[in-house]
Amino acid sequence: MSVWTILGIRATSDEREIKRAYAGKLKITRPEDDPQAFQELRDAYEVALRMAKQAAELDQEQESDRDDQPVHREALEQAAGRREEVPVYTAAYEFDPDHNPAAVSPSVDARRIWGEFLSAGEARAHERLQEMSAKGELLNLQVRECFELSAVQYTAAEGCDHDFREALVGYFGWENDTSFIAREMPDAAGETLARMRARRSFDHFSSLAVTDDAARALLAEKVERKFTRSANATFITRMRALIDEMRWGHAEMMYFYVDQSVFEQWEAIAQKKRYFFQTAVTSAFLGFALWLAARFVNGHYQLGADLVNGVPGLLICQLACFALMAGYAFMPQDALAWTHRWPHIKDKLLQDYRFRPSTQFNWIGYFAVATLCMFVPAPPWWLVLAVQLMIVECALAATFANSPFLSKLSFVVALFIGVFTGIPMATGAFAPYGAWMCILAAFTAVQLAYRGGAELTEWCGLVGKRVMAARSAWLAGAVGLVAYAALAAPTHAAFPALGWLWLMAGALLARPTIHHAFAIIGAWCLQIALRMLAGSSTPLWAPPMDTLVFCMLFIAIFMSVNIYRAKINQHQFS
Amino acid sequence: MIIGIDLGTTNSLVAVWRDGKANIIPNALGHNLTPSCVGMDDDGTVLIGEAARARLQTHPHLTSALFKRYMGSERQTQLGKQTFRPEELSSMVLRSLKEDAEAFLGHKVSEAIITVPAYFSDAQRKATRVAGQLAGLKVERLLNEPTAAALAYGIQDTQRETKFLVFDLGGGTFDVSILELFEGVMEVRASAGDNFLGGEDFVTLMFDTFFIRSGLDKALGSETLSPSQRQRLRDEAERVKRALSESATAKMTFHYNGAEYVWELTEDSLAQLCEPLMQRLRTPVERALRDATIKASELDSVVLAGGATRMPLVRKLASRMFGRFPMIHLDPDEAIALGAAVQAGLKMRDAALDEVVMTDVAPYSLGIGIARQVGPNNYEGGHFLPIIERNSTVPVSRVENITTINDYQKELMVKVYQGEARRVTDNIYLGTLTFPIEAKKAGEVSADVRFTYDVSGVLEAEITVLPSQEKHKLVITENAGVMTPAQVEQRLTELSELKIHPRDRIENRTLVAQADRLYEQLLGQEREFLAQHVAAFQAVLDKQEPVATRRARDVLEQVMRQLEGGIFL
Repeated sequence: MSVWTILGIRATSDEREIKRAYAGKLKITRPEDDPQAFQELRDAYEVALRMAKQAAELDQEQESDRDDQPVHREALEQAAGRREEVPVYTAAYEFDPDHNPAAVSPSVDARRIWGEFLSAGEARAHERLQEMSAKGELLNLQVRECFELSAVQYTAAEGCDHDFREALVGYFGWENDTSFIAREMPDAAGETLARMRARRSFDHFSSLAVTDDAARALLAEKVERKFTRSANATFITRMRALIDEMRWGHAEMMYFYVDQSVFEQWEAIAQKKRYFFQTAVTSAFLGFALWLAARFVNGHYQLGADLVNGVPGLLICQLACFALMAGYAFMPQDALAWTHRWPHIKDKLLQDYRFRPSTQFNWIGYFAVATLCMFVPAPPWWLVLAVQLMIVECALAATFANSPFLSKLSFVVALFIGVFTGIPMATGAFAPYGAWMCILAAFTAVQLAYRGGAELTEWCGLVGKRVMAARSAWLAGAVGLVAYAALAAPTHAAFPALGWLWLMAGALLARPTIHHAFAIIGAWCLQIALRMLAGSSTPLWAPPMDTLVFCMLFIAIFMSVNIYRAKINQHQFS
Repeated sequence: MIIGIDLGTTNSLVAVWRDGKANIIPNALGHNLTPSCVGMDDDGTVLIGEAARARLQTHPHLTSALFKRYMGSERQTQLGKQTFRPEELSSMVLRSLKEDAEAFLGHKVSEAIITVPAYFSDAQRKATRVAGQLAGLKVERLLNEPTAAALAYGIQDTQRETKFLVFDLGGGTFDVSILELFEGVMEVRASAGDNFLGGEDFVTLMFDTFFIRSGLDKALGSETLSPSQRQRLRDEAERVKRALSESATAKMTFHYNGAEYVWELTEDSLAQLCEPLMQRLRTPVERALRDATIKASELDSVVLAGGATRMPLVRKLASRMFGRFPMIHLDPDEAIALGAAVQAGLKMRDAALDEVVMTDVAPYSLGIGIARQVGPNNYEGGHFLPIIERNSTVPVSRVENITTINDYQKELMVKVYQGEARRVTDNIYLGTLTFPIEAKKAGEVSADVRFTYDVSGVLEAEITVLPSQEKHKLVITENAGVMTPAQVEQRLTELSELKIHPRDRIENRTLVAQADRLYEQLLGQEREFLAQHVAAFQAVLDKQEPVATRRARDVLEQVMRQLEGGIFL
């Protein structure tokens, strides 16, 4: 619906007719009764008024074009002339009716005050304005309006002093409220404010330029190309930031104070991809580090690649790093766009992927295989490497899967136990794998014990009475294993492996529902009791059986608590 | 029947539209003005109006005034054993006005239109509504004070075409409105104001300056005046302010420790003193003119409203600013209440007002906090996006579209503010709306924020998330300055248990309170003389004979008038 249909009249530029139509309609759609209809009517009314005003202005402009008069020439005089026709200014200035000074037209008065103000020069403008307002010279609103219009015309000129302009802008508050001057003298108002902002920005950047090389370069009259500038990453980064800041926030300054060709040249320099000397230094460091790492790997695993040790090796490493860094430096901007997705990927990883059963449980099987491989006597180097890789993976996967379920303290304790059991392991049968791998393996194993197998058994369908059956079987097997070890003293390497497998199975059939410290102390006491019972000469107390027995007792304590509480709480893992 | 109430900072009035015109309703004492004062009597009953005002000096701990200034805040006032919020104190004044109206009209009154300063914020408006509710009144509408004053003036000749400015300087607030009248439409073009500028500020300024000018500060040293002495000095300042409206010079005197301290004021010295306040009067005028897109020369007249415009200082400023004499046909104290009654008539669709429609504006901008782009991939938060621009004609509904700026943003938080500053920290916070959105790339999710502002100044914000067309409405409840409906319900029963001094005996009670105040001011023989008369009056009161009481009251009033020499209202 057009605004004219809503108002119920034909298109017109007669303000009075629009108002009459609006008033007529308003008595039917009252604002408090039908807000929506009123809103429509009101919008239509406002649009119609604006259109009428524009049409009137257009007419006026055409008229003045015909008269061949510049529109804004001496607008003050024009305004004064036009206004004096209307005899509304005869009212006295003072409230006291007896005190009636010669009735002066406000526009004439304003012209006089402005003339006086200007004749004293541009200095001390702020103070003089304050003095004037103290005297009450600008109290009359019409005088003030005329004065303001004269002032805005003056300050729009290029030659106007900056402080003078600032004083007037500040005094009349044009910056916060441009509506009056913008309506009366749009061009001059825009020019004044633009010049003022430009000067402020210029002052800001000039003060920066004292210490900032990039700002100085941008404000300079010509482009000074120096190698130390264009190849310096700090300088170019700063330059880019300044260019963005100027383009986005200081358009006025760009127009009035900055040499466009200088700015564009610097912009081209700053946008160009380049290999900075900071990148070169980084590349050299990286190359050296890569070379050292290669030498270490070669020496440690005795790969026999002697080329790496000498100067050619260093050169190759340097070249590789140079290629890497150069590739990074000249990579197109879009190539790194995927990194913006990283927060999303992280969220998905942490909240979705982590809780999948495959993430939660697969590592256990993987860990079993890896640890069982460790029992192979005299392993070849490839098996050692494979097992080492698997254990590192398992440790990471276990920590990732368990971190929402175990407290931070549990991880610290697990690491401690890992250190205290891993180091003795590394001095014995597991020496080929190194101390670090033994520590990691023990750390992962302790996590397994701490987490227990409640979720896993449920996921496998091992529930209800079957749990009890499995536990009975496990306990019987454990007793059998210990008894066999004590009596037959088996020396075959597969026997400790079997013991380890049994231990892991036990860990998955229990869940630690009492504090670990109690379980450790309990297992320790039981072991002392067992030693007193069976005598200290049995093979049970030689490694690795001593550790296995201790761990089985530890697991058995958890399990018996579970069995005991299962009857009370109706839950197998309570 | 809807009544119109002017709930002022210093004085309140009630008026009603009857027989085709607005009438002021006098209170139990026969006065049009009821001071906005509330106090506890010694026996625990509540005193409202003139009696409480008199006791402000004699019993400062049991009496409260100027509570309108704290509307919309959590400030508690202690009166005796009980504490009250500003809206509760206001509700007692409203209740007393309601009783006056009921006595005048002869039937129950349950609906009212209450005026508020145009520049009152959302919280202050809500508090005013609650005050009405607590007084047992359904608040039909909150009317802006300058609009009310304009209605009172405009209603005299609705068929004229004119533009005028209302300059409303009340006891505690200052408002300016520009109105255009055409074809029976009274259109408010713009309103501006200052919520903390009024006649009381002039009194405070005189009060503060008195210490230095009279040498009282030296005599006091490190001591301070007691609350009752402070109130006496304040009353003296108020008296001198009024006296200067009539004569060119006045003496402000104060007795302390047997010595007399005097400050002689002239109109000019007061003008010089009040220059900073005068400066503050000018800014809203200019702003209103600019927002209304009207030049000072286009105004046909200037209307003064509010008691403080009686001051020659203010009148002079107005006439110099506009270069013409302001119009003061109506009593400035009563114009607003009369306007409220006119609005009540409009609301009731009175036949005499059939051809009149009034439209008002939202006096301040309402918007939300947003982040603006200040560079490529660089956003700066805390910017204000106005949705309803100030001085839009109400009811108004406007919509703005906002989009997300972060990739995979999961929530959208919209904070609503009121004010004119570019940064939200400088505006008044109204409330927050937070809701989940679909995580997509920046800019792919957008929402329409619709603000609807009704005629009473109540804001509603509705947000529509575009892809899903989900709608969310903002209910601003967390504002600490506004009571929740549950709190209102609870206080309603608590307040109804308070005993209010019976209306038919308030006249005698007021006179005794005023006599007590006068007694404190007098010295020596005069004091003794008054004491004797009060004792005699109270002896008559105890007999409870209406005729004798009236006669005794007349005698006491005459005595007091003689002793006082004209302060007595």
